[in-house]
Amino acid sequence: MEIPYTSIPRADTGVYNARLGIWLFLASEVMLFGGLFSAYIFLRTSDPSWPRGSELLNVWQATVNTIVLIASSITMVMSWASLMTSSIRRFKLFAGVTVLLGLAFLASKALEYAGDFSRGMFPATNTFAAIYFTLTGIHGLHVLGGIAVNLYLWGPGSRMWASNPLRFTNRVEVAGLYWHFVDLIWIILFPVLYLT
Amino acid sequence: MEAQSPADVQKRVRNALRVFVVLLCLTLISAGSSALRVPVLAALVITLGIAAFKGSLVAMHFMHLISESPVIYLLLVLALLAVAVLLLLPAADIWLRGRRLMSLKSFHLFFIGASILLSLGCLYASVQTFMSEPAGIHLTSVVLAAGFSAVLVAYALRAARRFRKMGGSPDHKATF
Repeated sequence: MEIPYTSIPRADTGVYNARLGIWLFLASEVMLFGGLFSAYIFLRTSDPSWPRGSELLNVWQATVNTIVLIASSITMVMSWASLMTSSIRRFKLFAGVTVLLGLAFLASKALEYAGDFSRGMFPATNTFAAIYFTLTGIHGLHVLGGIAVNLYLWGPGSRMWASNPLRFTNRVEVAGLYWHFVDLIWIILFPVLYLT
Repeated sequence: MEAQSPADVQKRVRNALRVFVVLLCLTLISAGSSALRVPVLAALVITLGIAAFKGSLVAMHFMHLISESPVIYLLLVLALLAVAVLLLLPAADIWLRGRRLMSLKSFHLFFIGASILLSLGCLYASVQTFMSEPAGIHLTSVVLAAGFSAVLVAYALRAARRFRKMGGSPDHKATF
C-alpha cells in the first residue's frame, strides 16, 4: 500500500504528512520539557539556599557546547539546502559534519559529567544536582536520538535519493526540524542551569 | 517541501548564516554576563531574555515558523497552553501557600460547572454534526450529550441546595 502525502502537501493541512507528524511529536516534546521546567521552577522557588549554577558548573565548557550545537544547526540547514540544489555529495559532507558536531557535544558533556563526579556532585547530592542531571541527561538522550536519525540519513537512508529525491529531501527537512528543536532546548537550558 | 528556486534556497542559507552569527554573539554576551556577578534577579532577567530571543530566532528562521501552515501554529498554541498550565499550577501553589483559595464546597460546584460546560460543548458539536449528516449514530450522540448535560445540571442544583442547608458545618469549611 502506498503511503499518501509523503512528498506533496495535503489540501486540508497545507503540509505533507511527515511534517505534520514531526510537529505533533515536537508539540509533545514541548509539553515534556515544559513539565520539567515547571519542576525546576517549583524546586528552585521552594529552596531558599539554591546555589548559583555559575559557581558549581563549568560555564565556559557549556558555552563551547552551545556554540557546537548552534553550528550543528547551521550544517543541518546546509545539508537540506544541498539536496534542494541536487547535490548529494554536499549533503553527505554537511550531514556528516552535523553528526560529528553532535558527537562532539555528547563527548564534551560526558567529560563535564566526569568533572562533576570528581568534585563530588552526583544526582543525589542536592536538589540542584538532581534537576541539573535530569534536564541535561534527558536533553543528551534527545541529542543521541538525533544523531542516530542523521547517521541513518547520511548512510543507508540516503539510497532513497536515487529512487525518490523529493521524499528523501523531506525526510532530511523533518530530521532538521527535530535537530533545531534539540538546539532550542539547549539554548534555554544553558542560562537556566549555568548562568543564574 | 515547497517548490523553491535555487535563488530562494540560497537566500534562505544566507539568512541562516546571518542568524548563526547573531546567535554566536548573543551566546558570548550571555556567558560573559555570568562573570559580572550581577544579582540573581538581574541575571535571570538578562540571560533568560537573551535565551528567549535566541530561541525565537531558531524557531522562526531554522524551523521556518516564520512561514508555516496554520495547522502547525494551532498545534503549537495548544502545546504552549498545556505548558502554561504546567507552569501556572506550581506557581499558583507557591503564591497561594497558606492562603485560602476556595472552600471544598465552592471547588465542587466549580468542578460541576466546568463539567456542564464541557457536556454542553459536546451537545453543540453533536447537533451540528447531526444537522450536516442526519445519521442514526449522530442522533444517538445528541441524545447522550443532552442526557448527560441534564443529569449534570440536576446534580449541580441538588448539590447547591444541600450546601446551602449545611451552612457553617466545620467539616465543610475545609479549604482547597
